[in-house]
Amino acid sequence: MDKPQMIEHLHEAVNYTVYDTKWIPLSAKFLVLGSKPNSNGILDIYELNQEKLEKVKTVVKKAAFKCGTFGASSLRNRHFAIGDFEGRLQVLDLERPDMAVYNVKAHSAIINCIDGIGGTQLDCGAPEIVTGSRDGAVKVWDIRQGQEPVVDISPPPQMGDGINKSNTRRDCWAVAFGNTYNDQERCVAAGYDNGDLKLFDLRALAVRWEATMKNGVCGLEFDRRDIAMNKLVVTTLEGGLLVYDMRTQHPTKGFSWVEERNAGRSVGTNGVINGPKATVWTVRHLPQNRDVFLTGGGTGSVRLWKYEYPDRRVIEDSDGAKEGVAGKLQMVSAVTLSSQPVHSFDWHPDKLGLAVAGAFDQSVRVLITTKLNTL
Amino acid sequence: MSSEKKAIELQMQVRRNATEYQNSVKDLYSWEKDIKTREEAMKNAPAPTVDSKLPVRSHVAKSNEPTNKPTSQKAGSPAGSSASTPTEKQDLPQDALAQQHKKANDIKDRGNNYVKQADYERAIETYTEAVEVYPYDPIYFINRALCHLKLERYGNCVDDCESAIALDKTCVKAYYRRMQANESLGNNMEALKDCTTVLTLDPKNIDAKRSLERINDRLRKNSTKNGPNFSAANDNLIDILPFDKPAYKRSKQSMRRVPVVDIVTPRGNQQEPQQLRISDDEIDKIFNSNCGPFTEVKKDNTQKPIVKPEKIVEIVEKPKQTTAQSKVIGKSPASSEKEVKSVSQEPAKSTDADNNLKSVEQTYLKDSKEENNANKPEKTIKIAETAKPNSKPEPQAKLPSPTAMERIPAAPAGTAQFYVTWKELSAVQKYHYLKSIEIPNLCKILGASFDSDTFSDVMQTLHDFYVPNKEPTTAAVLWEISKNDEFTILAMLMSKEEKKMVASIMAAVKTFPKSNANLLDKLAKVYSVA
Repeated sequence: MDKPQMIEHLHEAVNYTVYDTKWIPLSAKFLVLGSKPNSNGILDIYELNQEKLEKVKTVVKKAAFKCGTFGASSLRNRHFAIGDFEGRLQVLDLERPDMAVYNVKAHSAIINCIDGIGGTQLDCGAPEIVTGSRDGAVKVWDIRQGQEPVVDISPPPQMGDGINKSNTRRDCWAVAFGNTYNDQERCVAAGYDNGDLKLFDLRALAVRWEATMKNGVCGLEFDRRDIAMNKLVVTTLEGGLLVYDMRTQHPTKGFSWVEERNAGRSVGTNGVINGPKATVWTVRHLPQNRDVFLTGGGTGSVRLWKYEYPDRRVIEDSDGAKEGVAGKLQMVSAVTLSSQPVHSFDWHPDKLGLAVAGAFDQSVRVLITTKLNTL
Repeated sequence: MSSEKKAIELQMQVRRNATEYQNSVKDLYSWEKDIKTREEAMKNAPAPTVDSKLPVRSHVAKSNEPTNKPTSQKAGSPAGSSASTPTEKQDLPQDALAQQHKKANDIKDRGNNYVKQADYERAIETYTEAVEVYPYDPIYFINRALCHLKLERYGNCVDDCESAIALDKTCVKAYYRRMQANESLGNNMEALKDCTTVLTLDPKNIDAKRSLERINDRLRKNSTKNGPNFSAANDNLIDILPFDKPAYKRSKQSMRRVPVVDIVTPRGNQQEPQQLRISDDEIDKIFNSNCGPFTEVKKDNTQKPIVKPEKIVEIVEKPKQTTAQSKVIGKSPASSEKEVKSVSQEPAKSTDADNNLKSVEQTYLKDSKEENNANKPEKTIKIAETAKPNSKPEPQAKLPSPTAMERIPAAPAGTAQFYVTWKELSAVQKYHYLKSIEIPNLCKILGASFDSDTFSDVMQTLHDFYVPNKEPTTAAVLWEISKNDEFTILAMLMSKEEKKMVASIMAAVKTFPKSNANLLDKLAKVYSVA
């Protein structure tokens, strides 16, 4: 009975649709990105103040905010990169949020997902932001370089009229940086609505690996961004949760993986899994333990998972080629937070067990998870 | 017992969890305080120096290239060399001269920056400084030459380029800039020399290629100013001017063919066979495509090929006619007289065909379609009659030619075949074709698609050929046609001319020997010809 417990510590109802929640590094503050009913973008900063949440600042811009990241900003200057519904990428200085530090029309359609890297980590290359959009493109940005992306991974231009174009271009739903273990190496994983998963090598500027899931890819995260690729967690529609072992790439089979098909369903009173196959919206690794991660499901439940490595991570097949061995997934804890999907979640980078979650019931929750250190 | 135990355990668990939660919340509050003070401290701390050492990704490749090949950079443009400076600085110079070189390079980089800012005076000063430090690298001269060029001091530019060339004879940029300066000075011949040098050193230089054209043009223009240097116009040559009349103003007449003949100069003739020593067979072997022995296709005068096929048609008709004639002979016993007549018809036919031919030719040439073809045969018959005695033996001589037989289409088996063939035939052919059909079958072959066009065609054929030939089957053909299902409508819709034609046919048939008066009466009724 010494399992970790997830407890809702604070709850804040807001009057807009929440799209993303993020802790501000090295502070007791988090920010909430959302879309107001008049489709303006809103950014609220809340501060933990013992039993209550205190709203510190509100920023409203004309396009609804979809996603944001601190990944490319240093601890000190707190430059928050935001992607919005009109395809604009802006980097706001949270001290002076009125004027964007960097503002670029990054995509022709909504930016679904964003990830950043290089802000705080040492010796892992330039700070960069990656955005994925409904227009099918994945673009990597360096705010030191003007209005052009440093890498643009777009599907080839399609023949035919606009109607056909919209049909053939895949919608990019998830992006994640990884493999940044030195100044040069860097990878971007991108997941698409048709279940395609692509791994782009930014140093070689080539597709390193491709796979296709059964359902659209909603969430992607490497267990650590700043190490040589170790694990990649993929979440999909209809409750798919896959963990790829990214250490060993077999020449033909690629990476090996372990799959959990019921990750999106809610867990009943006696631990009985019931309910419909629900989307697994998001995955977040615990910053303090890379083998523990949390998934947010479509039924409003969140689950804590632990990945257990196999005895041997690499075996040689008959041809002498090395092949990875996937481990096992163990569900540590599950709790239903909301009646609506929990689609955004963020662990505090400095405080073990502290997290903030946003759900589609127009509320944000601060969670405390106990006994994580025992895992 | 066990349930009690369980209940107690559960309570214990809940209590433990509660204390756990309380502890963690306490912990959280203390952490909050702690983090807030740390945050405050961080805010008050001096702003961190932003180290932009790491290159922007899209720039990495560019800055790497010059380090890989520093030699090419030396001859490269000043703009390209500035990017490579950080790596050059890292190289430790070995001796004094190299050190000087390095120093000069640094000065040059400063100069390059001035060039980027378009401050050419300062740049010239800087490059001069660099030259004073290290006078053995042509790059400083080239760069200074560029500045002079931009400031339009072409004399200085040429001087600098010459010193650069003295240091490095293969310095493409120096030649190119001297060319530019010479061009601006108006020394076109000098510029041309430099341009060709550039192209020999760097054959792929597109700018130089363009310049070469430009300079050549200018030289040509200058030479034409002094007077034309090409030969006077030949008398035989005709200037064909382009015309831009709107379509409605253009001549309606068809185009005339003008034979175009290549004038081959004797020199050209001598050269060609020397170049083409490979035989065709060898070429075939090489390309692995044997196309058979080579046969030359000779082209005659343009109008002949059009005439020829008509002649063939003419030949074709004769034997058929005669064979048909022989049939008739077989049928009718008392026909020695007729035979002579029918044979005598042959030359008439040939002349008729000739006449047709001529008319075709005329229409081809003059585009005049006004001539009345309907009157023609009668005229030709008259001509034929006058020509009878001379041309009698001819057809018999031509009779056995085997190719001629093939040209007349075989009698149709069905309606569709008949119509397809019918449309393609000339007037004379139609006659023979119609005759080749057995009369009892005619009605069936004409079938349901018998229309007014075909009807008038058939009438025309009867009128033009059957009647003059005094075919005994004419009346039978008419009768057979009248049996067709479509005939009643067609007869009603007959035009005046057609009626006239039918009447004339009837009248002619009446004069035939062995004409069946009964049948004729019936025909007159059916065709409603009074």
